[in-house]
Amino acid sequence: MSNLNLDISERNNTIIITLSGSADMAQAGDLKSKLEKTPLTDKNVIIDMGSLEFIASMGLGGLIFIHQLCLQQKTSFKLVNPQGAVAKVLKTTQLDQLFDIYSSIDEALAEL
Amino acid sequence: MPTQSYRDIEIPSDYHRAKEVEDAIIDSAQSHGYHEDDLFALRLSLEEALTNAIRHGNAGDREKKVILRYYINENQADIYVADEGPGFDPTAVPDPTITENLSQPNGRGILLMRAYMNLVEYNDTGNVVHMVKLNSKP
Repeated sequence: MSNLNLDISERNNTIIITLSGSADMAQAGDLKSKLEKTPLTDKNVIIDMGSLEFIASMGLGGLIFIHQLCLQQKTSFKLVNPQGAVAKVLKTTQLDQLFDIYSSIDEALAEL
Repeated sequence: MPTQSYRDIEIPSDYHRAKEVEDAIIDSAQSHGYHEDDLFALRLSLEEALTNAIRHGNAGDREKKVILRYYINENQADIYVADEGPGFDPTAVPDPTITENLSQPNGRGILLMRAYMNLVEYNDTGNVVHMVKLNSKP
């Protein structure tokens, strides 16, 4: 399973974080430090999960951290396109009820 | 019937070392022909058990060990993960799926292990978790 990669871009006051690879325990520290360096203040956040192959509790904790940050600063947090096994993890933990989930970045942007 | 022999591995409380062991177990399951869904379930449950052992059981103390004892054959993967912590009561962990707990950053490991494995049980102290995953296509 491949290492976790983050691609970060910005559109319409929205930080778009595209995750690919595996959000596992060995990558969690790296993920946290990259997210902490990303200027999210007063920004909406969209996480594109379409190429994410694996996520466990530590990765879910990272998503919840950003979700809570967005709630506090009254911006939007949206997930896009979780696939197969990753979508099943969200459903099993019922985080699919906490997060707004869309099928594409454009669809998520349209709802901001 | 031949006796199945367990393999024992001891590692420090280190996520990268734990990931190496996790990868080795997944490779072994793959070589025994486990289905892709079973491999994901095994990886996820190992990840949760090892994370709990390092972060909660051993409180991140690298001097404390995590001990794995496992065997894998074409029928099942049988895995014990032990830490050197004081243990805990798994029945006292709040349900992470109820509305007021959904935003909690932690507390989903046991839920995920129980959802993805065929057996999850703890010793009386709560510092050893035993998990079994059956190969769905033996």
